[in-house]
Amino acid sequence: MNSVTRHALHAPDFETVSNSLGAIVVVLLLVLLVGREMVRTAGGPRAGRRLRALAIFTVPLFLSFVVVEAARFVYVIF
Amino acid sequence: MDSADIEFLPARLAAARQRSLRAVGLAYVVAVAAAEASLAFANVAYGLGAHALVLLMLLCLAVLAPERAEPSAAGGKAHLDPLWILPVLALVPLLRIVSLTTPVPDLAPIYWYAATGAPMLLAVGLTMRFLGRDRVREMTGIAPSRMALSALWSPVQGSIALSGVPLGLVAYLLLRPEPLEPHPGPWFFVFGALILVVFTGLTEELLFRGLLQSVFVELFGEIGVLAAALLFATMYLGTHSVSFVVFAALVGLGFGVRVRQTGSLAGVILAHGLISVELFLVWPYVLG
Repeated sequence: MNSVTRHALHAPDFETVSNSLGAIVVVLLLVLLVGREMVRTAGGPRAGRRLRALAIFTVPLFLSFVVVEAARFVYVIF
Repeated sequence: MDSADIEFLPARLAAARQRSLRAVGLAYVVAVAAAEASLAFANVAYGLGAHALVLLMLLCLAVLAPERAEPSAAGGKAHLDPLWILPVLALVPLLRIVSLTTPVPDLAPIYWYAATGAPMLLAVGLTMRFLGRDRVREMTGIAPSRMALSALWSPVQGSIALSGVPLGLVAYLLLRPEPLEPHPGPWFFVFGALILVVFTGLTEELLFRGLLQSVFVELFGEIGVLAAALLFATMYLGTHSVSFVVFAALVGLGFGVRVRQTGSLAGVILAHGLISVELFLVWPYVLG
């Protein structure tokens, strides 16, 4: 994490920046999840290893997504 | 094609695969550096989009790579398989994507390091599990037992760890960051130090010196240590400080060389943690 993150968070147009970045990451997560399903459907001898390789990225991105959404939810509630 | 050609075919295929992976590695370094430059000097969304594109392309190449023969038959090494190498390279774009999108303004800045570091530590752990204990040892030359903090009792690892003390002061003098918390309590320093050691020291060293450097050395030879250090430095372009980027490159290179020499990450993990702790929790309150 560096000053790019800080500047983005403290920018006056944070909502705009946040929406753009959030959209990119949600699309990325969706593409990876679709890719996982395609690999699972295609099968093959290395399907298990390919699925584990994709899980390296889908699991942390999903965790980040949950953290951000939970924080926003808490902010809205309280 | 005569019988001699057929005999050498697996070796030629292995050499061709290594050349292709080298080209991918070079293109990857350029693309990540360009994405970081875009983040730092142009448009944050374009930079993040570029990182997402690099990540997707690497994973497509890894997943779509053709089946290969067993290493012994191909005359090559098991870890030159794109399915093992490319996901490791994709961890750097993931680091930047997570570090830009996970922090939330309502959370105190010190907890941003935990919020962004936890998914990355998970990703690094999943990668090491995916590669397997033997492959991690084969790729990095580092036995998991030698990553343990018990290795710090050795004079060499202890001295590497202590190098973080002067380096932390130099880092502060170059960057002079604002205090993370205007009125900190004692628990802020305790939790803050723990968060910084685990989520910057441990995570970034496992990623850059543990996994990425090993892949680069495999692809480019010993010059891979320099490539990993330069990539590490590009991650600090966002500081907008030339001197700090040069400092990061030199520290990354020094750490990389010591890891290659000693076969242990323990010292550099603690040294990196000490640099971060001093940079954000010590010197801003002492000299700021």
